[in-house]
Amino acid sequence: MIEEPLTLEERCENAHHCKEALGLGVIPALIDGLDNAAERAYEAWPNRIVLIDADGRIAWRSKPGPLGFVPIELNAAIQREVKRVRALTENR
Amino acid sequence: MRVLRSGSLSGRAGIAIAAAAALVLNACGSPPIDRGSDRAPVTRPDARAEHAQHMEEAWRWLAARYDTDGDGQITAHEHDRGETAFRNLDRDGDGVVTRSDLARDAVLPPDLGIPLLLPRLFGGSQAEVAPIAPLAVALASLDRDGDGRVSVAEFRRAVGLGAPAGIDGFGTLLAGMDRDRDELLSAPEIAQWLLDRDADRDGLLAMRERESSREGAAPVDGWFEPEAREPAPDFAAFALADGAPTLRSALQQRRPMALIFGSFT
Repeated sequence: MIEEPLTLEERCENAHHCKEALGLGVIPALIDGLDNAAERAYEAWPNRIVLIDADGRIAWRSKPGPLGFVPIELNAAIQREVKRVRALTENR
Repeated sequence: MRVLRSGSLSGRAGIAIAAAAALVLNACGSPPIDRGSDRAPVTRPDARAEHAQHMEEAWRWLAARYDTDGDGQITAHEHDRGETAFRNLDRDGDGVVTRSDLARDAVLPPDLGIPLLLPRLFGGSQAEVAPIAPLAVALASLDRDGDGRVSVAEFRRAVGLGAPAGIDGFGTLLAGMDRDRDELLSAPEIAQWLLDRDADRDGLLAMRERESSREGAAPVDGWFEPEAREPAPDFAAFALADGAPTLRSALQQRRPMALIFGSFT
């Protein structure tokens, strides 16, 4: 059972459970502070996916979850960005 | 790169309600609401039984953790995780949490629950948003006896097979919309709540209103051509591995980065 975390430590504990339960061992995880600054900056609640390009700009953003949270769309966005960057490089 | 805000759904409503909210999404393989039906509300027997099992497990977990004197009930003093969390568990409002509280259908926080429930009840299981005007008309039209108000019986008769196990759908609507506390929903109450909820004034009921909507602004989701890309907001977060504070930009350096924001309940 998962309760609303009251401290950052509890939030980290929930995140550990999440990583184990979902098998996310290879993905680095960051924990948002209790002020939820990251969530607010990206309007990310309850879940969302964002692709940032190498210049630090937003290349693609999913619709808000839960129904807008479609991981395969991230794959398509990555492929598109790779293709775009490759074309730029080849044209130089 | 994954940014986790653990327990956001459960954080709004406590353990059992989070499970119920998840069941809303799972249960919505059901057809849209049948306004002409006289069927009594029916949920799949296996869904009800499964939900009951979940709630029994939840009670045992809560009792083991918080019922320190072993008297079969959890007081606010024993629970000690804040007023909101306790109130969400104490579903009958008698001041203690017992097994019977978890056996009751949960009233979701209306700001979360109504956008979860209504588009799917009227627009089908995949509906994420619903236009407010026809939604208000459709909900008000459940008034079968013509008294100008929708009762719990009229609502449940119409919901039929769409009733998600463990969720008090009508109670959730009342919690948000029933301004005069008569336990009935009038057309003005329905319309007012929907209008008030539509903070971005796009005429749609959605789980999240856009905070950054501006007239003529570029779309906020989808692909962005390079000339239209905005800088990714930086933020400070904590690495799960060692708790070290870090900036997103420091981690990214000059590489592309994917952020996967999630909640875990």
